[in-house]
Amino acid sequence: MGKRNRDVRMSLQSLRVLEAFLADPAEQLSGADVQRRSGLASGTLYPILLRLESAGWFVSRWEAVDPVSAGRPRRRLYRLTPNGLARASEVFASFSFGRGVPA
Amino acid sequence: MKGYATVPVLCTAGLSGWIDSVANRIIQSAARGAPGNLSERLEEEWLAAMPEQCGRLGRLSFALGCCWGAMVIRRDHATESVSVTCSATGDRAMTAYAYHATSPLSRSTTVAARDSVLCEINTTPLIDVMLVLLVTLIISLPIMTHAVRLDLRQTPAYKDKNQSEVIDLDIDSDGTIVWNGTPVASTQQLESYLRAEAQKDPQPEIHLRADRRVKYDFVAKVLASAQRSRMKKMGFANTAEFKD
Repeated sequence: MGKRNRDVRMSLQSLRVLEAFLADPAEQLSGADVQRRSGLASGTLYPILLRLESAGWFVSRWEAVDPVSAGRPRRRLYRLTPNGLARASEVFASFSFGRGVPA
Repeated sequence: MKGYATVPVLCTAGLSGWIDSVANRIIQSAARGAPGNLSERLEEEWLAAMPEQCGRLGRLSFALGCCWGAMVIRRDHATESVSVTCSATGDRAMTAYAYHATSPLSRSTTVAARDSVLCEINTTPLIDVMLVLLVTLIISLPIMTHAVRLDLRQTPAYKDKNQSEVIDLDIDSDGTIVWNGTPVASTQQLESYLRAEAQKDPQPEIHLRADRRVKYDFVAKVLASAQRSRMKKMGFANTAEFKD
C-alpha cells in the first residue's frame, strides 16, 4: 500500500480504530487485537485499516515469529506512523475543543 | 421401531470441524476476490486472525465479515485506480456510470470516491448474490446428508400379544358346522371346543359364516352354545352376503 498522506473521511468506526491505537501509540496491534478493542466486525475493520495504511496513517509488517515453533500463523501488525499519530491526535483534539470533525 | 440399519444422527464434533472448514474456505474465497496485490496478504492475515475469534459462530461470522470487507476493499481499490486514471488523462467524459448510484456498497470512504466514475461493468452486486447463494448451499447441504451409519441388531418380526387368534366357524346350508375347516359331529362337540377356547387368554375371536340358505334355528343354536361357553368375541363375517 502506498503512503500518499491523503485525507481520510472520518467515521465513527474509523475513530474507534484510531482510539484502539491511541491508548499506546507505540504499540503494534494485529487486526484481531484492534477488533477486540474497537468491537468492530471484520468486514468494517479491515477496509478501514487498509484505508488508513494507504493514507499513511499506519504502517504494517508481518510478525517476526516462526509459525512452526510458535504453533500459530504469523500475524500482520499495524502501528501508527508519526504522521498518523499527529493526525489522529488532531482529530481527537478537535472533538475536545468542539470544533467538529475535520474533513 | 427396531431393526433398521441406518439412523441419521447429527454429529456435533463433525459439525464443528465442518463449520471451521467452511469459514476457512469463505476466507480464502474472499481474499481471492481482493485486489491482486492484497490477495495473499489478506488471506494469510485473516486466516491468522481466525483462531482468535470466539467460538464457531464467531469464526463463521468473522469469515462472512471478511467477504464483505474484501468487496469493500476491492471497491476502494477500483475507485482509487479510476481516480488516478482520470486525473492523469483529464478525460472526464468517459462512457461510464456514476459509481455510487448503482452499487449496494456505495457507502464508500472518501469524498473523491463518490464523485468518481467507473469504466467497467459493476459485478459487485452479482458477486454478492452469488456468495449468499453459495454460502446457503454450503451450509445446508452437509447438514442434510451428514449421517452416522449404525448397524443395529436385527430382530424377528414383532408379534402383538394382544392380537387374538381367529377361529372360522362356518355353518353350511344343510346345518353342518365346520370348525376351522373341520366338520363338527355334534353340538356337544362344538360346545367342548368352545369351552376349551374360552379358557385361553386372550380369548380367540369366532368369525361366524352362516350360509344364507341355512335355517336360523342352526345359527341360533351355535350362538347359544357360544354364550353358554362364555365366548366373548364373536362376529358375523359374511354380513355383506345378506344385503340383497
